Amino acid sequence: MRHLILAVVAISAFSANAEAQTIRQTVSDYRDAFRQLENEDWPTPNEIRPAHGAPGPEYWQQQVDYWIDVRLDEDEKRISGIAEITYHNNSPFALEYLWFLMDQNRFRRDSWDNLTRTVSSTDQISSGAARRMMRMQEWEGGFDVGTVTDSEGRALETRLVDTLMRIDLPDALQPGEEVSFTISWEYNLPEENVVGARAGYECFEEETENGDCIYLVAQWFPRAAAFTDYEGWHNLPFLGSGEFTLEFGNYEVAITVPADFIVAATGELQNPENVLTQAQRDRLEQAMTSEEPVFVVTREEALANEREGTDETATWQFRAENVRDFAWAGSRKFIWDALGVEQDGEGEYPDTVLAMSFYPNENEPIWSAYSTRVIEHTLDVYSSFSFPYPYPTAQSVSGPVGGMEYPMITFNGPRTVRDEDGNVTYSRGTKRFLIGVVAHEIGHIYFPMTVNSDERQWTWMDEGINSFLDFMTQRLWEEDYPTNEAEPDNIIGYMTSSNQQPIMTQSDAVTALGPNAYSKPATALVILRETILGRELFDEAFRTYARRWRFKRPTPYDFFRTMEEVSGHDLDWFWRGWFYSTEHVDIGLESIVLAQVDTGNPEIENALAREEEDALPESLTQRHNREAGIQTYAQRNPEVVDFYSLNDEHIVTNAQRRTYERYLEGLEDWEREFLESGTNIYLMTFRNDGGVVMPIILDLSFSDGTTEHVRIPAQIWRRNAHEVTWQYATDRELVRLEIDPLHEIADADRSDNVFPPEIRRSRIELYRSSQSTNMMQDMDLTVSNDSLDTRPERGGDDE
Amino acid sequence: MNPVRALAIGLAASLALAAAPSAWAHRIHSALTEVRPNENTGELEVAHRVFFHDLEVALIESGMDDDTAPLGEDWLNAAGSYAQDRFDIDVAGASLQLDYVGAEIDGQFAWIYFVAPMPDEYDTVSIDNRLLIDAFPDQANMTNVIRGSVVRTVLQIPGRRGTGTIDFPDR
Ligand SMILES: [Zn+2]
Repeated sequence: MRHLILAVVAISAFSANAEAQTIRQTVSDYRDAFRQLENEDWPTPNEIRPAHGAPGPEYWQQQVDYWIDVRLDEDEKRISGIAEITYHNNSPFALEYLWFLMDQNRFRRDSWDNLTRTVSSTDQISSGAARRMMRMQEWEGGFDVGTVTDSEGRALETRLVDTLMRIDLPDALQPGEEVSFTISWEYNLPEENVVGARAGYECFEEETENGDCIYLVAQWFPRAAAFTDYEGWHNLPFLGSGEFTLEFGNYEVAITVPADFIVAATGELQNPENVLTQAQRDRLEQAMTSEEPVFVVTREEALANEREGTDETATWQFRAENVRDFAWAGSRKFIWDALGVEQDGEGEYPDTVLAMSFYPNENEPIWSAYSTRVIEHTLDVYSSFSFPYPYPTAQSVSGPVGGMEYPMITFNGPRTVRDEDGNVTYSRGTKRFLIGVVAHEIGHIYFPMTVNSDERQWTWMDEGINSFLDFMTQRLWEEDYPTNEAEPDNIIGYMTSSNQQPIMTQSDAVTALGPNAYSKPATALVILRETILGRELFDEAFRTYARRWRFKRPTPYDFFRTMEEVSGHDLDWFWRGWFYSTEHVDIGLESIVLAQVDTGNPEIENALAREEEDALPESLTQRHNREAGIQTYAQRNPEVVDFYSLNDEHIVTNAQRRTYERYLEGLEDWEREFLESGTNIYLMTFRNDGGVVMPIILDLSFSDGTTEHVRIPAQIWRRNAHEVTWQYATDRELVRLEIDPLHEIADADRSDNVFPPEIRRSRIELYRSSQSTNMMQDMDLTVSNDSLDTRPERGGDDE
Repeated sequence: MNPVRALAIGLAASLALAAAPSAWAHRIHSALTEVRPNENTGELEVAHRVFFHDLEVALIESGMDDDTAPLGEDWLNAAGSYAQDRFDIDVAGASLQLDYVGAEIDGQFAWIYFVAPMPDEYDTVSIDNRLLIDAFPDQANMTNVIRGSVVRTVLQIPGRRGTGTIDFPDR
């Protein structure tokens, strides 16, 4: 075996650490960043959840159907309901009892949530906490359960464990069978802004407003706890933070409210002729084919309605199929607009979805301008990533909840503000908040309301995936829209922090849910799409996951496995680094060495050697001797000068020429060509300082002005996850190299990413030098509730 | 056994609503602060990154006019004094006086900048980061204190407020 010899010329070496000289045997620091996750962190595949990530032949899930009659007592702020619940046991197991979620019990004084609230400071109390404390002394929430009876009217035994209730069945519910029972209950609605809830009421009592209220009603009936193949009954209590794990079912709900209320709810209205005027029904009809939102209740009508009040009641009947929850909202303050959004329902889902928004005058003018249009845009983007929107309605309701999602209906917070002079304004921040929150909450109707992941176990599965998609939605709202939460650079702070937890940590144990369950997984998916898999493969794999698991209950492993098998990329290394570890990304350039092939041709190599030698400085002694005019012996006695004196050791000898000819004769043609090419081989050594293995992405610039963008797959780290040397051959001269030039891998320390090293300036230094140029003008503008048009602040006769 | 001690407890003035743990709030009510020496300038730099909309709500609650234009002079002053009042840093036991540099908006985020002359010792750092907690009881603040390649983090989150101290390992 012959070897071509590399002549190595170092053109740069960053830090060549001299190793300690003593021999010290240590265990190898080999780390297998590409080891498979199966059988250690991932459950063993089975016939329910097989290894390829799709639901298996034995997949099952329960179904729970509800018929509910509910009534709002406006004066007492109290809800009373009666439900007939039908539980279908699709599992292969007989069930002796059923567990139900009694989430309102969180507002009992003796609830685990209330009793386990800790104090964050011993010398001050926030006014919000003080107000809640006082309210909890005079007010109490929680379900008052009336009767629980079977279909023959016999009382069923129940047992309460904080926010969970067990209903004992007289006879075990066999696989494939169903059981129906009736339950009645009442509870006091919490005042949202005082006790802090996911739903509740908010009353408008400021001078410019009357005392009317908005009621957002959720977690309002006994919901079946999930019973699953991987967990059995889900028994985590509701502590206010971890969200829900629920079963799909069909709902028929009759909602009785004051007759002048407008009601929005999960599902479709079944009796418009009883609760809507002819004009309202006509406008709804018109909205189905309109190009822009149509007012079903105008601002003027809502304002007039507010001032009346009534003792009459009306019952709104809704029907919702295959939903995992049901929520509703009511108020006499609601303005209501609607827009039919067309889509290709693929024969399974509606071809027109009714997008609707409900909001008080206090939110205007931004809600009528944006809310319903953001729903339209969100359906468009999310469907392109997953499946057609599967329900007939998609609604955004204004209320005291900052942002919360339910099937077909979402509660969203942003409002305009009214200053002391009565001027109505909304800030840039409020507009972005509205667009962002509506996109996010409507997006939740896909994840987790349709792709029914387990929110209480794995918050990232709905919040992370949903933040990824709402980022895409906002990016597509308008050019340069200021959304950057999921841009890789913005997760570096969290990923380098010293006390974080892996994304795969159970929801309630996570200390910083924002970066952990929203930003980091969203960023990971952006990187997977833009950098690791590319859009085509990512989108196909992600769409396959969404379609495989719509109306089913995926676990993280089903997601991971689907993404791998559809994209054809084994991604265990990526999940390990991003979802299972708290390491960060930091690739650094250790050194660059220029190597050239030894041609073996003495005419070339000897000359090069001479050039190298000549490039060295002359002996200082010789130079000083010459400068002092001192002559050598040979100069004084030229007769001693011979062949060797006149020719240095780099002269080409005949023997060398003959050796070279024999060498050439023994070479293949391609070898000869390579030898003559004069190729530069750059040996680049990279360090993985952060721990997470990632592709090495390079921009190379050459002296002839050309550039090259190189993307080396992460697998380069498979033999050594700490340091690798990679070679790049070119006939050009490399003058600059940058790692991660597009800022796409969240590289934490860029100071060692560039050759030759460049001085990096901090954010603050950059800010100081740019400060004078990015100051925005104070425009002093204002708007009114009925128009987006801005006008000079306090300019004359505005309302 | 000690008798129950009477304690005067201050009411933190704020218009904050009770913690409404909506699905959205977790996401936004979180902030990141970076504390790092800058060898080029000989300063210790403190950079706060908060969600712009959160900051806007907090500034208005703390008295700024709600129609103040972002990045205008009034807004910059309000943001600076807001953050100045709510972030304390002690280095080696001595309180550090921070000078306000300015603020900027980057996408969804607002950044607020401070500097101080680099202290002689930088081994023990105590942080009390109260940014936005008067506006949002569920606010989670993360402060990364950086020395060389070492990052130590102080967390101020619900149920864990007050000063946190980190020690850098011996060099
Ligand atoms: Zn969410």
